[in-house]
Amino acid sequence: MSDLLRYESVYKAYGQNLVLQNINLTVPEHSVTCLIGASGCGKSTLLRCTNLLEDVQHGSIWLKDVDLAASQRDADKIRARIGMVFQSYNLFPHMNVLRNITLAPTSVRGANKSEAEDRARELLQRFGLLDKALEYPDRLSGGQQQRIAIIRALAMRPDVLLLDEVTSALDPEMVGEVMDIIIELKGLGMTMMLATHQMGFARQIADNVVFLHNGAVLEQGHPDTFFGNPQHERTRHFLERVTMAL
Amino acid sequence: MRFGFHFVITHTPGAAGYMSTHSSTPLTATQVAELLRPKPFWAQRGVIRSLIIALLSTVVLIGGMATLIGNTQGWASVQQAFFSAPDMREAWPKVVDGFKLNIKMFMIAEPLVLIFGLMLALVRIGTNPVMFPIRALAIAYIDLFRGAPALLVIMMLGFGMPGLRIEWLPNSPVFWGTAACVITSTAYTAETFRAGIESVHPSQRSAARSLGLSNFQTFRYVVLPQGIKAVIPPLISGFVSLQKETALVSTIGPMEATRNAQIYSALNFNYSSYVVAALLFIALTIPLARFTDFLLRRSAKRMQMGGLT
Repeated sequence: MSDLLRYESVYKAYGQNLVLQNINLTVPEHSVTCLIGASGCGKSTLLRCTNLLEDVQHGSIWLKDVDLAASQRDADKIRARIGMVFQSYNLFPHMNVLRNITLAPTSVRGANKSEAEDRARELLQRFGLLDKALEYPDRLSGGQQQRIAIIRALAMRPDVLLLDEVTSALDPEMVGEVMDIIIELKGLGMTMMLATHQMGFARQIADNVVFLHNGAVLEQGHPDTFFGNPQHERTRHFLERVTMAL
Repeated sequence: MRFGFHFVITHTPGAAGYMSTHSSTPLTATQVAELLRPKPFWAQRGVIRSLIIALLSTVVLIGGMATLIGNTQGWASVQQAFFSAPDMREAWPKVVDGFKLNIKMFMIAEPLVLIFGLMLALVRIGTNPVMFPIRALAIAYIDLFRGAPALLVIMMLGFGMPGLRIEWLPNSPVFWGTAACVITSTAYTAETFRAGIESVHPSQRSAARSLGLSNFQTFRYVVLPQGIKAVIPPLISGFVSLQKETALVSTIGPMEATRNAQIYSALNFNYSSYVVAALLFIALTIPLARFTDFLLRRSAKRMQMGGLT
């Protein structure tokens, strides 16, 4: 397995506030990386930097052989190769589901409308949402909206999918349907990075678990060793607290 | 609110008579069915009572005011001066004729206001440093014409521009009056558009950019449509103001509704013609006002459903 993403000593600051420090990380192709850590530890920032929604102050983020950190000029082209899904779904409320999904393929890739729609319907069908194709987002449940948001990102055939706490805003009974899609995507070989607070889910799906603390990678490893035998005191402390909360 | 009434129907579980239906035994299936049976509007609890109270309150208030005004010493002469039916009938054709000009000015001005207003808002929102001088001009324009009274702008253009004696410029007061209305309304409309565009949540931009849409595409397909949709009700309020503003053009001479009313009034020593003009303006604005209410109610409902993120 070759590396799809490679972070080399990445630093990011908001003003005087260092939010990412010396991040070194590799994401192999077809692997799932789970980012965990307390709120504000830098999980979301790392994902947003990867998608060039934020720029980094130092270091490199390699997507195959392109340094993302140095390619702000081609940002649009690179973003089109990296799918991102947000905590609050962020569907476009003034467009129906089909248009939400086909907007980027038609306007960015220049796909023709009927081809893009066929592809969108195919994706909707596969994830059991074909009957919602002509609905507007305000008629859908949170779980349905989030699944559509994932499909919208997939429609661009991204190299990697970044999922930023995609189940955190959902009612508990809808968390499962979104997780199921992610599990299905893993089965299809999709490379994914996800920030999550769901430790059980991370353990089930991750190939590599990364624990961030104050913007730095404190510990990472295969979920069995990471959860079974955490090395750092802080990691143990964090895991104890989140398991207690459950 | 099928009937358009706006009564507040309060549900007071503690009210006498209602309590008696609360007992600790569970209901039978038929009783539950009775509970769920749809009731007509008037049969719902509290509706009849609200209707009666509203009716009584209206009769007391309107009746009281009518008695008060009717009993004043000068009412008879005021009524004769403002609400004389024969004068209204006589003034009607001329005022209506003038009102057609108001409608014409409005119909020409409104599309221009929308186009220029949006353009001005776009210039003002931009951040490109190359555009700085144009942005500064836009801000100055908005500040100036939001502050200047429309009446003054109408007079300055209407009397001032022809006064310059530039040959190729039109000197019709209708032209300059309409232009002045466009100029003042554009300043307000630009700010309305700007508010709408800035109200679109930044997460919508993030989502669009993350899909690879360029800055321009994000604005064109995602931000702008939502921004405009958000300000449709205030834009329609702006239409209403503009309709009324056309009456101010009378000061520079065109024979529109207010001007004709003024002429009638001066010849006949009676103000009823002004009331006719007022009624025409009101009749034109009421449908728009109701339409705005409808749109606001609908968007409130959408918000309640939690559709917009």
